[in-house]
Amino acid sequence: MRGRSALFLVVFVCLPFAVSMLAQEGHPLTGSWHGSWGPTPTQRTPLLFYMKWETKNVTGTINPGPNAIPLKVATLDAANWTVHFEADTKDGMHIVADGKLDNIGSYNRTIAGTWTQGAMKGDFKLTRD
Amino acid sequence: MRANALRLLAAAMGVYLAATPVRAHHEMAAEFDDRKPVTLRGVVTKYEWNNPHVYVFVDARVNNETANWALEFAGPSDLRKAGWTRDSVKVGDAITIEGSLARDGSKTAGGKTLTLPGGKKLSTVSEDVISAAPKSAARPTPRWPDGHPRLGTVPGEKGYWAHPSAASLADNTAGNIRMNASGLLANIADAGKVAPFQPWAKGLYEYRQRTLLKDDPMASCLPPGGPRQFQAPHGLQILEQPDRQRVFVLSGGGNRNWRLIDLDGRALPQSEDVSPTYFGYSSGKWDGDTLVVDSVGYVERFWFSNGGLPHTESLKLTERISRPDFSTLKYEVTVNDPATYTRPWTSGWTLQWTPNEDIEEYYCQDNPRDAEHLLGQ
Repeated sequence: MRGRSALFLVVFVCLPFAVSMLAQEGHPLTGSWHGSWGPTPTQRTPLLFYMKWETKNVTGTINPGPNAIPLKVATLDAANWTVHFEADTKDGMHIVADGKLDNIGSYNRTIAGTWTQGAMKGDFKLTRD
Repeated sequence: MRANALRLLAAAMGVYLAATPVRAHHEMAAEFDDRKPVTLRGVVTKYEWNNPHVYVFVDARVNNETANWALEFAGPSDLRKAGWTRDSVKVGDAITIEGSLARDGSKTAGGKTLTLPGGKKLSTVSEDVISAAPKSAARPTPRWPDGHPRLGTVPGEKGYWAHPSAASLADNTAGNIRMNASGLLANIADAGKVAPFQPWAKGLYEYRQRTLLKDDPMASCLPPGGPRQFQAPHGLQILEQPDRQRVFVLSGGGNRNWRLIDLDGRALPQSEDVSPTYFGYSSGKWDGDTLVVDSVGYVERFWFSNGGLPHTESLKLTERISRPDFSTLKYEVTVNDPATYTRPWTSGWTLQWTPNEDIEEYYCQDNPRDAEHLLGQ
């Protein structure tokens, strides 16, 4: 019985962890990313990015759903692993984000950098799901 | 500054190429530093004869500190070729081990030689030994009654394909590019010659090379799909079923991985109709004495070649497999992945028949000591 409990622990607790630790796959920006942006560490707005590499360019959406914001620009400079995003909110605010891709070899790699939305400035961090 | 860094990296890789003695489940260079040799003298406390790595534990005194050290060697099938047995080492033996220290500073080392109490010295198997093709008498290509070449064993005999003549995919037009058996370049400046990369793919390939292939999914026990199945250090077996119009390619040195190639003329699935897999969906047909196989539907979660070449789900492969004589398998593959490479490109190599042996079981999760690699990094 104790052995079965241990097996259950390994299979159902450890295995999802193992899967989440898989290494990087495909284009580094492809996938779902979550995180936040904000002017201070306590004033944060949640972010969800979905991006896909389409042979020649990256397409994507910020916060998919009824208030989705399509990415107008999403570029990756693989020489130094910097990224640049641009988008426009529904109420006309222009978003510009510049960041750096980190922990590239990991499935759960990250992007962090500066975020400008209209007149507001802050930082952002995204982690790949 | 950047040029100096590249030169340093190239030099480090050169040292690695010259010094790394084993080919193992995970990339040894990523874990152990050949520039930090160590000699340990101590008493064996445990001997684990398991895949993917054999471990010898010794209580040894280093820098006035006695500690229990874990010495990692290649897997049992490789060590057997160098004269080891599961009884070579016994608990209580006073031994001497030469090796390289772990990069993470732990009490772990990659073992190179082990000297037993009587003075007998066991070495880990060298890449030359692993890759040395067996000498076989010249025999013609074996054939099925319908005249097609047999790609696998003939009745009453054993054998399998191993000893690939190339370590990694590289564009046929690239010229001679030096790399070790894991596909690690001797000179990182050659990266751009290996394949017609898109910029992101070149950046990712160079990153994987610079980090000594530490993120290799095979180190997490994931399968070697695509051409990598034909580069695996422990070979492969081809099992043909003419009556069922299909061929299986069975991996040695893996977790009993197999790939299915249909020969019944079926069309390849559309990518939106199937879930991508590690071995994809393959349909083949004979073109004279050459089996031509088209494949699609690959998941992105593996490296399709040694050395860390990237790919996407757009990957399409066309492989040409032939057996020009009994002991030679000729393998050629055209890579078409427009999301990763700027044009289709072709690479190829030969494998040699290893007679009178079968591929071996090699479950890489067998040894819990390697759990860190199962979980990734």
